[in-house]
Amino acid sequence: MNFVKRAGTSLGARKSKTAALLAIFLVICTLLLGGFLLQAAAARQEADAQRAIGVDATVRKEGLTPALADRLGGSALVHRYNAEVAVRAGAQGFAPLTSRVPEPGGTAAGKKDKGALAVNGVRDSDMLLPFSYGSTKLTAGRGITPEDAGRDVAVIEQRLADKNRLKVGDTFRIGSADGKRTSAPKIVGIFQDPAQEPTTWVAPNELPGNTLYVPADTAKKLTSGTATVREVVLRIGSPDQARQLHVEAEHLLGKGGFEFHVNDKAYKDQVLPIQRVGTFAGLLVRVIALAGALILGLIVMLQIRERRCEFGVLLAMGEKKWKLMGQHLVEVAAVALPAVAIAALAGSLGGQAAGEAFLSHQDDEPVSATRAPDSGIAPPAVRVEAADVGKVAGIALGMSLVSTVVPGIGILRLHPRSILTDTE
Amino acid sequence: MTTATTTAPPVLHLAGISHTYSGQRRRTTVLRDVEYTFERGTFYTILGPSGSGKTTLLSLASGLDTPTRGSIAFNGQDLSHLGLGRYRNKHAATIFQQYNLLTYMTALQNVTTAMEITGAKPATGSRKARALQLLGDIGLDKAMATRNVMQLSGGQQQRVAIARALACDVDILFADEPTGNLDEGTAQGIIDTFSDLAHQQDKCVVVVTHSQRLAAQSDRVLNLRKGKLTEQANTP
Repeated sequence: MNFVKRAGTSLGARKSKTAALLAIFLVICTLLLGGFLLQAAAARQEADAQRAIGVDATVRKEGLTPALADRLGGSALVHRYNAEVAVRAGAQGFAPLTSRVPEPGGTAAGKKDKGALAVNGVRDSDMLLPFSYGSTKLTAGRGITPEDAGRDVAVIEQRLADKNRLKVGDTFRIGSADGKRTSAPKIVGIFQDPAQEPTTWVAPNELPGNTLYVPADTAKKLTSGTATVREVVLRIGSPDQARQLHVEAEHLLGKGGFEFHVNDKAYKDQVLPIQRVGTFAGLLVRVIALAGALILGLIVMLQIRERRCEFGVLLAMGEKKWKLMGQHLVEVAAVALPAVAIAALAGSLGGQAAGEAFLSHQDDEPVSATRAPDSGIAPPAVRVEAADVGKVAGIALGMSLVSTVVPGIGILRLHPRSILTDTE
Repeated sequence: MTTATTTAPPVLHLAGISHTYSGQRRRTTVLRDVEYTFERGTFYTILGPSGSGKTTLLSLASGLDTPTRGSIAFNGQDLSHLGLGRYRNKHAATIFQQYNLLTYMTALQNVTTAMEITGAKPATGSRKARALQLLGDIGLDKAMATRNVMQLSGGQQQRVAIARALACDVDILFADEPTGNLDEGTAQGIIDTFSDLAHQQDKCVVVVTHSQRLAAQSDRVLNLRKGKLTEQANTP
């Protein structure tokens, strides 16, 4: 292993050249690592965004049962889904809101209506458009989640809560429109619907304040006949998966006879820019790797030409050619590996800020009525992982190998005398 | 009944070697059908005017290059079969006119590196001790030995080159103008060392020189003129 020792002696003796090579490697490795980190962060954020935003496919069909909706929601393509069962129910022991405008023709005000409440059985209230777009907001407690299945819980409107002094944790009673079945849900959340009361008379169940959300099972209990699902909203990862989901829906619901709408605006607004950053990062990595290999190749080639005489002397002593290449490879690699380590350190210190600068632009967009729903995407997590450092080290060593061996072969194929003197 | 007698083959035999350089415009033949046998225990000098092909001959004989035509045998084995790398590594060492030292190393490191590459091991002591002894023998003390070779004078560098070749403990030692940059006293010391190597250690020493004084102290003097090698008549 005397060539390794020689490499150490050579590096120690050529401190300024070693430092220059280290600086170049450091720049290349930092850029490479930056590219990989950005690519990985973009991929992670894209996956998060796909889960958080995704694409909503809405399926509507006459007579769509909750069981069929659950089977659609059980598709491997679906991350989240919500099936909505709408029923009317009557208030028991509390007063529903009534229109302030008298009912045409008469005596409606104060008349008891057994179906004054619009009860929506849902699986996941966050997936309802007014909630996901943020127009309807929870002012207390939480929404209905899949974990609430089978529980008697409800989310009521602020105005109904105010009128009856109801708060989160209270229990109230509602009955089916025919009065035969009752339910006593516990309030887990209160929401505020910005919709104003209509200026003309409407039935109480059409007043925004009389809408409440309960788990689908609770709604089914209040249905006099067979509960049907008005629509099922299925969240999938990307627009590409919508076609596949359509095929699955056809398989389940039969060809035709159902509506299938895809809403990919949110996806396009937020996921595509992240994908573009990821693609850019991938391109950046390739360009840097190529440019780095070329730059290093030229530098090492110049160094090797400069050290032609050294090659000749060592060969004249009978040193093996592979050991000469080994010495140069060790020298370049001994510079490349610390550069990778320093780049990894720099990446772990500054990567987060750089990643946020690249990937969090969507947070700066102004909120507007047409804006995609709040994604809830976490800030990009830029983490220096062993795999990224490994890839950079692999590329750096690959560049060392190529930049050493290719120019070296040209010289080593000559006889020592030709290397030492071109002519007599 | 016959009695078989075995004779050791010559240490180096040049069999009809010719060498031609191909330039962009023309080809120049430097050596023409050189035929010569070098023996162990002999100190040879090769004389000849500049451009006569002395250095080329030395390069071919030391395995640094291959002849255009003809063959070279070491101990009866063709160098092409033995391998030029192995020949240079184990059997032949060269002292270059331009010294060709490893410029990023000290004098001591140059010598020990050569010993490591050739696998030369001193009979006693370490390689470093042997290298320091060789350097000391030719007038480079420890302080000089541990200096980078670029900080040494031309004469001192030449001495390092000589010590490096001597350290390799090979069968044949080639030298190209080894005393050119040395003062008279040191040059004589080097000539004595060559002579001792040949006569006491049974080595073959081949020196290319312009120095008649050096040639006069060698066992055999060869002349190279117009690519032809001849032995001087008055050599023993």
